[in-house]
This record gives sequence, C-alpha cells and structure tokens, in this order.
Amino acid sequence: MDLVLQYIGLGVTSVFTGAEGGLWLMPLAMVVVGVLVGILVGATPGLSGPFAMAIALPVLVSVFGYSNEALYPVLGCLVGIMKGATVGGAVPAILFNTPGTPDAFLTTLDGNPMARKGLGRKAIQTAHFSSVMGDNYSDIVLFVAAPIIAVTVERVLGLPEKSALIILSLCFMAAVVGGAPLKGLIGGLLGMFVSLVGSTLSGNGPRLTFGIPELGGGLPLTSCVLGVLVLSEVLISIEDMRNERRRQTTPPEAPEMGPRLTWGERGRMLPGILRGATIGTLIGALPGIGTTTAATLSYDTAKRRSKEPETFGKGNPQGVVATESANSAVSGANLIPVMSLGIPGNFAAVFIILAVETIGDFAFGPQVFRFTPIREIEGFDTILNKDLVMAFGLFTMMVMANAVNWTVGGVLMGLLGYLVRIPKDVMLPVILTVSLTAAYVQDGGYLGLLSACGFAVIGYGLRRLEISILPFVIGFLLAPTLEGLVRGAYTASGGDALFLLKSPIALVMLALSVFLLVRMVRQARRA
Amino acid sequence: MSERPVETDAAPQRGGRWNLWLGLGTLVFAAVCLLIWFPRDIGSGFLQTNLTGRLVPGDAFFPILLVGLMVPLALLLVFSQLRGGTARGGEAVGDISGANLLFLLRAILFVTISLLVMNWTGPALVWLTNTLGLTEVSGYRAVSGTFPFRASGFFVGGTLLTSGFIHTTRHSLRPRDVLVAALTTAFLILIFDGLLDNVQLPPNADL
Repeated sequence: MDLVLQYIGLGVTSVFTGAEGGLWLMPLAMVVVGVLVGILVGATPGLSGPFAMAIALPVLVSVFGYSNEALYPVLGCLVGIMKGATVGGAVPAILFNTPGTPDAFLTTLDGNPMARKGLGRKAIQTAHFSSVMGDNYSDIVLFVAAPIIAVTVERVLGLPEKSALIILSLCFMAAVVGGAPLKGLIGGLLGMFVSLVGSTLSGNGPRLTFGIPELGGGLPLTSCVLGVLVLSEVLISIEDMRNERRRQTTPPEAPEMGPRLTWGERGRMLPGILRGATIGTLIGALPGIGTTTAATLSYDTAKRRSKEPETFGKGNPQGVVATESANSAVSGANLIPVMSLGIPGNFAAVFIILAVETIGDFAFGPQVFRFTPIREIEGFDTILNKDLVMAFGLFTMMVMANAVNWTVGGVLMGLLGYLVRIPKDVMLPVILTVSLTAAYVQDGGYLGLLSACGFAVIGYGLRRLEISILPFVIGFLLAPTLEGLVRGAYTASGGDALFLLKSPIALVMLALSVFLLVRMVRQARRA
Repeated sequence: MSERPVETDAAPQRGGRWNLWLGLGTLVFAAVCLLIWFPRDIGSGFLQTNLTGRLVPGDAFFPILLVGLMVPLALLLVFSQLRGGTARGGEAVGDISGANLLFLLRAILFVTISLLVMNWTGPALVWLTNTLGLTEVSGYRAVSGTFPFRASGFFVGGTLLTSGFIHTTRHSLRPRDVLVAALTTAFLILIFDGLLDNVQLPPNADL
C-alpha cells in the first residue's frame, strides 16, 4: 500500500513540477481552458467533444511540441474538453429543445418541458449536478478498476491472448455499433490494412507505398483520423443542409429561468444519480457502446422504477437526472479499456490515445500499472515506473477537471443559451477550414492535408454505405500493436500455424468473437 | 460529430444492391492485393528466414492475414444478400447516389481550387509588388518568411475555401459570410503565424 501511495504522490506532484523542478501551472491552466472550451463546444449544437478534441490536438501539439513535458498540458486540455462537453450539451437541450451534443438528446425529453414550465434554471442545475456527479463516480471506478484490470491482464495474458483480446474488442465494436456487423468488421480490417502503408517490421523497406517516397514514413496518424472522423462528418452535414435547403430559423427566446435548485432537492436526486452513473459506467467500460445507449437504458430504468412513470417526458427532473448522470459517467469509464489495455472504445478515447502516441514516449496498456519498487541509486537516478507516475498524473488532471466542472462549469452553463444562435451553415465551413489547416500544420505540409482529404473521402463513403466509422478508426490505431503481438506470438510458437488457437484463453476469446458476429448478423436479419 | 455515426434505425433501406457490390468489391480488392499489389510492393514474403536461420514472419505476414480475413466476411456479405434478396441481407444498406458523387466532386474541386489559389497568391503578390516597384525580390521563396507575403496565400485561399462551402450550404453568399470567412482565416493566421514559431501555414512548408 505504501508503494501505491508513493506512486500516487509522485503522480500528483509531477503535474505541478516542470522540467527544471520548479512549480509549473501550465497543466492546470490547460485543464481549465479545456473544460471551458468543452462546455462552450458542448453548448453549441452541431459540435461535440470529440470534434473539438480532433481540432485541438494538432493545435496543442504545435504549441507544446512532442517532448514528454508536452504530454501533461496537451492531455489536460483534451481531458478538460471531453469532460466539459458532456456538461455543456444539456444547455440548448433544456432551453431550446436542441441537444448540443448527440448524447444530450434524451435530456430534451424532460429538460425542455421543465424549462417551458418556468423551471429552466432548476433543469440546468439538475443537469449540471447529475452530470458532474456521474462523471466523478465513473472516474473513481476508473482509478480503481484500471490498475486492477491491467495487473490481471499482465499476469494472465501472453502474446496470443492479447492478440485475441484485440480481435475480440474489434468484433464487439463491429457488432454493437451500427446495424451492419459484417461491414463494420470489414471496415475494421480495412482500417488496419490502411495503417500498414509505409511501415516495415522486418527491415525490408516501407511496404504498400506504390513507390511514392512521401509515404515511406507511413500515413500521418492525426490527419488521417481528423479526415475520417471530422471532415467526413462535416461534408455529410454540409450536403444534408444543402439538400434540405433549410434556412436557419431563429431559435425562440430563452424561457423564464425560475428558481434555483435547493440542497434538499439535490439530496433527493442522489439515488437516481447513483443508478444512472452505475449504468453509464458499466456501459462505458465496454468498447464501442456510446453515451446514447447508456442514457436510453438509464432513462428506461428510471421510468420503470418510478412511482409516477406517466410524468416522464412531461418535465420530471428524474428524467434529466437519469440521462445526464448516465451519459456523463460514460466518459470516465471509456478510459478503463484505454488505460488498462490500450484499446480505445469511443471517439474521445481515440484522441486521448492519439495524443499519447504522438507526444513523448508514454504508451497506454497493461505495462503502465507495473508497481516497480522505487529505489534511489546514489550517483545515478531513481528507479521507478515513469509510466505509472504519468498515469497517476493523468488521474490528477481528471480530478482537477472535475473540480473546474463543479465550480466554473455550473456558473458558465447558465450563461450559454445564446450559443444556440450560431448558424450551423456558417460554422461547418469554418470547421472544415480549421481542420484542414490543423492537418497541414501538424503533419508538416501537404502530405498531412491531402491525407486528411483522402481519409475524408473514405469516411464519407463509409458513412453513406452505413459502415461504422468506429471499427475503422480503432483498427487503424490498433494495427501496429496487433501486428507486433501476432508476429511475436507466431515466432514464439516456433512457427505453428495454429498459434492463436493453442491457448485456451485465446481460443475462448476467438470463439466469443465468432459467436458475437454470428449472433449480431442473425439479429440484424430478424429485425 | 456523433458518438455513433451510423444510426441505422433511422437509416432507410434505400441502397438496393450496394451491399452486394461492396462484398464483391472486397473480394476483387483481396484478389488484387494478393496477386498483384503485395508481390510488387512488399519487400519480404509471408515468412522469411532471419540471420539465425529461423523462420519468422515477413512484412507480408500481417497484410495477408488481414486480407485473408476479409474474404470470408465478404463472401458472407455476398451470400446473405443473394439469399435475402435486395436490401434484405440483415445488414443495413447504404447508398451513394449520383448526387452524392456530384457533391463530393464539387467539394474536391473547391478544396483543389482553394489550395491552388493558396499556392499562387504569394508569387502573384510578389510579381505585383515587383511590377509596382515596391519590392525587388527574386521570387516568392525569397520572401516566404516575411509578413505579409508568407500569409497572403493562406489568407486568400482560406477565405475562398470557407466562403465556397458557406455558399454550398446556404445556396447564397452574403457579404457578412465572406467577412466571417476572412476573419476566421485571419484568426488562424494570428494563432499559427503570430503566436507560434515552429509551424508554417500552407503553402510555406512545401516550397
């Protein structure tokens, strides 16, 4: 236990200690900036946390560089955006019946009727209280579960099992995201395939480059993800708006804000928050299942357990509590597979992983949570697991972001109603220009920009053909890890063709992958 | 950006045989990879002998596994479509129509023209100032680190790009929209060119 406390202490102090050993407040400042930006982004319909994280990452890397010192400010800002956006999305949902983020859609069901009854302030404060409580709850689960899972994985799983685990995660994501598991899995394989361009593991020169020397260093990771996630979505939105020929209608005036939420009312919400946060945390810990599922499940559960279910949808605060606590709990829980296994489960987690892969020499995965005894060797250095210190540093920044959300977030939320007036038909082209500029700047020229454009076209095609983007992106990110594991497992087996099937655990995971896929295909066929 | 980009509940089953073509396309892709592309563009085979004489995976090992896995999935997709009939194979069916392709072409054209304008504006400005006798420089490269030359291409091209897409979305372009586009681009110049030292705006990193 002493060792754990030592590492926690080192993690906390590392956030505030600069390279020269002096006090450094930049990570804290970036957490505050991130939360504020996140709340603003969340409160703007058409934008979302991952969207802002995608654009912010290249900018942050340009500002702070690629060294280990850059990791805290960059991650702090991204974590802040992720957390702020989950809170901010409720504002336009409640005041104008327009969800700021997709996961706030269910908040409109009871939040907007509350606002129309003259209880706008109470609805917003309910959303804020539930959202931040849910987020805090899932963070605590993350802090406890991630090290336990990582230590277990490190002890139990070898190379074939870890390979099988990634395959299982990909199959699970393909099965649960969207209604086309087969196409989702093909998309995942395609994402993996594309990420191999320009790489080599056997020293025989870059592969799959068509002889183009610029591709010899591989495809620029951030620009590609920016293209497939953000630019493709912007293109689709622009096209849909063009086709609808919809003029931006002026939103109605903000309704009467009404009285504040009392501490007694907050106390009575706690059981509902606990239930919603538990559902959100459980759902969020599984890769691929998003906030919408968590909010829907939580809302249905709250309605079923309520003594007055008929009031749901007509302005029952418990409806807001259920959706906001659940969808906010997803964000922390989504980092459980990221930190313990290195497997991202949603778009926000993708950008956290991208930041870590781009900057410094830290990497997520079970190796992070090795509690190496701390020993100081005189005249040399201190032997410790620096990755573990970094992980506890990240946890510290999450706590800091929660504190900002608690304090500034609540004040800010009440002031953001006007953001709903930003016209989407002007905002989307602006985002497109900012994204292309970010791609150029981060990846050193037209290679980055053109990669982003190329991947935007791929993303556009995938979306139009109803192929889930998430498995493609996760496959793209995980391919190098999976290739290393598979090659290592094959070599270690002495060239056995059935190397993945020799381990009972790997066999079970692969069987589960096949079962999931078959089941989802059958379900989709029956639907 | 939605957390779940493909909301299939709301997606109409309008694509006809797109899943079938997708399955067949994947099979053709796999065949092209295995028979033509990989042998020519991967330096080592499926397996290779290392320096110690041991048989280890080559660079083609993982790509072949990936493409090999695509084949049964694509076959399943094809058979499920053939057995279930049009748009009834269990999988959600998408659609890329001619109008979609036209939009995409238009978008690509806008981006291409804007990038060309970004590339040409700087040299054009140099030519203009040289002609007017305001400068005497050999070319854009010589002043590409000097303001306003270094930001001129990005300013004009970026404003054009944003304005073009605003026009696409709104079917019209107001002076206010052009102003927003220009201010956004100017703000980006301020951030990337004014506040940061180690980055270059388009097209200056590719001169």
